[in-house]
Amino acid sequence: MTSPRTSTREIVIDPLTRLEGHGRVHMFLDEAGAVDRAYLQIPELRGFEKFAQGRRSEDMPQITSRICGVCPMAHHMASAKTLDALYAVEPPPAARKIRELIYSALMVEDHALHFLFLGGPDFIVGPDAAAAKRNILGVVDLVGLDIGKEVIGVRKQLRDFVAAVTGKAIHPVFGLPGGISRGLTRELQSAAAAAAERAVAFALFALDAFRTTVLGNPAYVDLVTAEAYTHRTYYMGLVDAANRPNFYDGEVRVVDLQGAEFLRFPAAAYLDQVAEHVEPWTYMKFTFLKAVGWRGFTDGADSGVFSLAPLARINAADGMATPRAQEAYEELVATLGGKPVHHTLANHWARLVEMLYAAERMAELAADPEILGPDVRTIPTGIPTEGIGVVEAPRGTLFHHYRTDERKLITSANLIVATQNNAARIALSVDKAARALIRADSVDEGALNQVEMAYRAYDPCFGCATHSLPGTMPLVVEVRDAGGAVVREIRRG
Amino acid sequence: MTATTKTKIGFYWSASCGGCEEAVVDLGVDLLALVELVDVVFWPVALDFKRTDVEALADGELAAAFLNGAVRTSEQAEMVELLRRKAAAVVAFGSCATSGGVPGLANLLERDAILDAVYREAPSVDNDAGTVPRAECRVPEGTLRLPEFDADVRTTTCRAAPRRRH
Ligand code: SF4
Repeated sequence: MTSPRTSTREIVIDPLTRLEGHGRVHMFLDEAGAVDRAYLQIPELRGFEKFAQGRRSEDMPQITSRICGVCPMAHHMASAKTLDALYAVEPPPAARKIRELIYSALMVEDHALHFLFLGGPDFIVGPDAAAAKRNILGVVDLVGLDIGKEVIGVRKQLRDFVAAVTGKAIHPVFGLPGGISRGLTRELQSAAAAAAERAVAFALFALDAFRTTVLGNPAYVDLVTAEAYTHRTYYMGLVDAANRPNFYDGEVRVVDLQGAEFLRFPAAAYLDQVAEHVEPWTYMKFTFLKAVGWRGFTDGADSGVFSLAPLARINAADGMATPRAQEAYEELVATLGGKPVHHTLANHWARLVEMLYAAERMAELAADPEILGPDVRTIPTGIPTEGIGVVEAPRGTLFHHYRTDERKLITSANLIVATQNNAARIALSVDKAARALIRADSVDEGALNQVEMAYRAYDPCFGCATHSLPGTMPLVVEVRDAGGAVVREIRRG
Repeated sequence: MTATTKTKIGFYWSASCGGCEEAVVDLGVDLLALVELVDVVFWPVALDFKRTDVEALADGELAAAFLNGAVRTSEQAEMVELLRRKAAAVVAFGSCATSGGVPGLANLLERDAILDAVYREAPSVDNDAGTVPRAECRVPEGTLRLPEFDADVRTTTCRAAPRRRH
């Protein structure tokens, strides 16, 4: 770093670890060694939109669930709902409720996965902990083996239940146009109730752990509320008639930077409200609000950038639909100074509030007598042409949109995936964190991890977002001089 | 996770949806029993160990390497070959690793058709300029590179990509 005469010094973090999919952060440094701009690049693409063409519409829940094996149920369910719309059939009440029951189980176990394996270790074990400890095993070391076994066991029980109803937890064979493949037996209803009870207890435990570890530590609270991890954008989430989050169904609501309702629309109107911007340096597309427009990578009321995922859903809602989740929501909002909450790292907390809601909702549905109804399918009769469906995936609003020909084969499949909806805000977060935390002379592994924390909070799935092929590479950070020669190299692990 | 005489194993995902990784995570509490019996020295989805850790192993030092996902990039091919050297046994599991799976559908298509469908033809795209991602791109601060998008997908057990149907 002897004579940095131009701004071409670069730092690259490749790949990002502990997220689903593949990503890379490329930072350009200015003459003083500060970050000029950090780009989040997604280096792969799969092309499901193209694979789908010419295939049978009813195969779409099977095909699209292969986009992601971490949250396959989100694609599976969005696809099944799109088939409902495509064939213009309404599932019978029992089918609808069983779908939501299964979907609630997915939300609990997926959020638990993030808490235990992916983003949670940053907080529970600590962002500066040794790399070898920032993982599930470090979490188990810290909380003790018995608690570790209990939390892993809860997740397993939920997934076993999902598998018993849907055939497989990974890539279910379950959703059909107009309903589901089979109904619930009394035994499965009891299994649902038991899993839900344990899930509620786990969610309360996780919230408690968050309170002790994070809220009890002023340094963590400073980190959560730090300007480096803060962005002021619009927020989107699916809500019920009373503006409470619903993961399975509802209308899409968008609130502005002050928290006032900006848009509210049914899934079928998505093309009127959102559009995708293309950049030549990444395979990720960036969704924005059409009513505001694409103004580049910037936040504020004049930028169509919006955010999704747990914190955005809480911002876009007026409260939670279950009692204990409502209490947890109120505590979060009061502690963080009212809504909307713009602190990205508060996603970790919001995720736990949602986990509690999903667990409580699962218990409600398991206790609903209608869920045992034998009629779980409305058989389609018409020739379909076009259908649009939406769910809240664990990582945010997910749209599927299919068009078909007279043989019911797919002619066009459009998938706007949660992480892609969130991509511009995630890119902003990485840029801002890099500018605040990285300098050429002081870059170390802990600082790089804190940049990675800026995206891990969203629990992004870059595999989903570009329907790309995840894969991982060693993390090597190279600092290059103006001539492109490597002057410094940091290897992690 | 520390230096012991325990049997060592590794997991790796190439072009995978992550479902095969979930299948391992779904061992649940048995996962804790597993790590008492063996050292998991490489598992990128869950542990922050890197390729350099694998390179530092002696050939054959891993008792087994469990691989899932298809092979689509040169990095993935290198990792698969590296793990083949470092492991006494390679276990390729899941349909993507063994036969290409859903990602293998890309072998039926041309690269440009995929790029057009995603970036130009999707009904929600706002892209009058017809921009598609490029291998090399100038930005105000310098140059950004992307791996050339390759439609060829191979299996973990086969070096050659299947011939594309035209
Ligand atoms: S075989 Fe392929 S599609 Fe199936 S779970 Fe494994 S990685 Fe996913």
